[in-house]
Amino acid sequence: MRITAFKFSIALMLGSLCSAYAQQNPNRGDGDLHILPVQGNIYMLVGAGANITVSAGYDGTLLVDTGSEQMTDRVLAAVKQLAITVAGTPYPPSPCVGLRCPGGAGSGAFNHWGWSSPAINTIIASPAPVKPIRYIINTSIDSDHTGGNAKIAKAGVTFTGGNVARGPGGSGETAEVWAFETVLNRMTETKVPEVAWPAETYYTPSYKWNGFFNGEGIQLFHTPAAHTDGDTIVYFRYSDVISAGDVFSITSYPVIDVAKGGSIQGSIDALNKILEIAIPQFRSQGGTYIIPGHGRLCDEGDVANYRNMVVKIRDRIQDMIKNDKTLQQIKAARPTLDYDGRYGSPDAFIEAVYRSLTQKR
Amino acid sequence: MVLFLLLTLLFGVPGFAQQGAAIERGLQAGTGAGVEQVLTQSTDIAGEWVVRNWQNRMERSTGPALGDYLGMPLNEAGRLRAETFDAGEWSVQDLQCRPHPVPYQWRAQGAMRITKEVDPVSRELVAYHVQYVRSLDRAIYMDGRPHPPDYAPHTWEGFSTAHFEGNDLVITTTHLKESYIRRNGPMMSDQATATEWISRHGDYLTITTYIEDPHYLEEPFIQSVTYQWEPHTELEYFPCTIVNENISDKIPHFLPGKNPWLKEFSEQEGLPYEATRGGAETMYPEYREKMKNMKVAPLKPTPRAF
Repeated sequence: MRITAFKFSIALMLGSLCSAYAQQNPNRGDGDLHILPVQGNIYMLVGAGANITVSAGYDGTLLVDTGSEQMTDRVLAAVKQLAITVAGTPYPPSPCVGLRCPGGAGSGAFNHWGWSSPAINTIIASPAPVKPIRYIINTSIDSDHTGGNAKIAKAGVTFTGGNVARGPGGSGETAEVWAFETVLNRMTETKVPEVAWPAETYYTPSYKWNGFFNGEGIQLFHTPAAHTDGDTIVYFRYSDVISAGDVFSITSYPVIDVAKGGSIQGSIDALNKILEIAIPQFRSQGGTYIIPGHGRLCDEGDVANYRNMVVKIRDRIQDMIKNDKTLQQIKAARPTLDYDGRYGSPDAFIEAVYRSLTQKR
Repeated sequence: MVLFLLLTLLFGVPGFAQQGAAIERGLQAGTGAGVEQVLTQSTDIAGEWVVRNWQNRMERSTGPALGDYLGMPLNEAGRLRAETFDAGEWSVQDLQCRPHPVPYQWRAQGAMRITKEVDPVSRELVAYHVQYVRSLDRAIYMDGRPHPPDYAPHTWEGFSTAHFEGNDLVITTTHLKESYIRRNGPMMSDQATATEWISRHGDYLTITTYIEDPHYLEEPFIQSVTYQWEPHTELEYFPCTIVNENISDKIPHFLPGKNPWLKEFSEQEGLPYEATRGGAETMYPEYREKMKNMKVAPLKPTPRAF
């Protein structure tokens, strides 16, 4: 409860940069960035294109995706403010005052040393600067996920060691950018500037981060031939949060880029992979949280509902293909009628499913 | 002085007795009539309650018949969603432990407990908490807090705030997950909102639910249900164990137009099939006139379980 209260206070403290956390039903087209504390080290940054997942703590900051290019400066400002609030703000020696303090007045929520607390030093002296952005992980090649790569990587610095100044530029290093190997391949093919490339890649079905970051292990899972052929979902094992990227976006039908190696079966497999990892707290709810590529924070129940929708529509289109219907006839039959109000125009999705199911293997 | 006391007793006691008698009559009649006047000044809904199956008994106990959407304001999308539903969906592991959602959970069988969360210092009511046999703890905030932003998670119970309007508690719920509004297929989307009125009449609660859904309903879907105060009831732990029931890796559903059970209800009840498809107009009495001109399939009486 105290942690929750602390996180809520973080959200409120970010009010100068982001609009109020508790605003009722704000319009996401408001151009503002919003930060939602998820759980553990993880925060969800909303409004910069794709959702950005932020791990903020004493090792520094790790971002999953960087949003669209035009939002980069605002993302950097929001992430810096978040890092200061989470890791660079001194706690009062006794943040709880009054009758309801656990253990009686004077035993604080964050320490139990009272006036001998090391925290007092950060009040009477200048606190150490927060650690920089260390890593970026791209979940796909899309520009609303990678648009900020160049500038944000340059603003950060990875672990360097040695006798160098720790600030950006001190070592000549930037934050490391990671992705599945095909993301790098496609960026080089399409002449994306080198500064935005994920210079660090993996090519195996899964990849364990090289050590704890902010006190937790991180796993990358490649979901083959889903949204594209370069998708990664990121699992924060202690915080119990999955950053799904565009294999799961709750604002629309799945965006399947067949030209970039995406497929309907891969999309379903990716959703099932998320469900395989996620464990609900109770009754298909809570527990593992899932940050989608776009849209609100979700849990297992939401992913299951979404997966069911995708499978049902796949089955309908497959049945029509079996009965020799053309793409035009399938579209005219409106196989997505019961979901169009919720997920929007189905044309691109139907075309992708049709192409995916009819292409020669 | 003695005369004054005598006069006071003479005129005062009958007044008190009349009020008490009114309450007594109301309680004996089971209506709670006469109690409202007393409760208006301090309405409280906390306590242990049991549901009374006085409305829609068959729908709520054995379950609604397949294909019966009479009186439900389903739109075209809502109808297709319901018609392609296969109850085998409950065998999918990820949704086996899905609880009854708000507001459907009022219609479930069994006990219900309402407790109060009170600030220990100010003694102000922070929230009511509602617990049912088959559902989660549902907080109904009374402290004026706003609803969360649209990027916050949705839950089976949604996010509820409420206020009193006279004797009625008026609840507004947003942030619901996609779930069912009846057990035979009709669904609400995760954009649905619910307004609920809880009216206390002595030992009875009348709970009226009003669901609005921009995606599956033509008009609001309105129902009511009755609970009775029952301090001796128990609200037991209701665990859920996920088991491997699904014999295939498929998601059970019917393809559009391929559900063989949709006409069963109309044929058993001698109703026009068209009427059982639901729609806003089927909620209104005038629809009976329209039904007179509809084709009715030959009756196929089939014994029902209930």
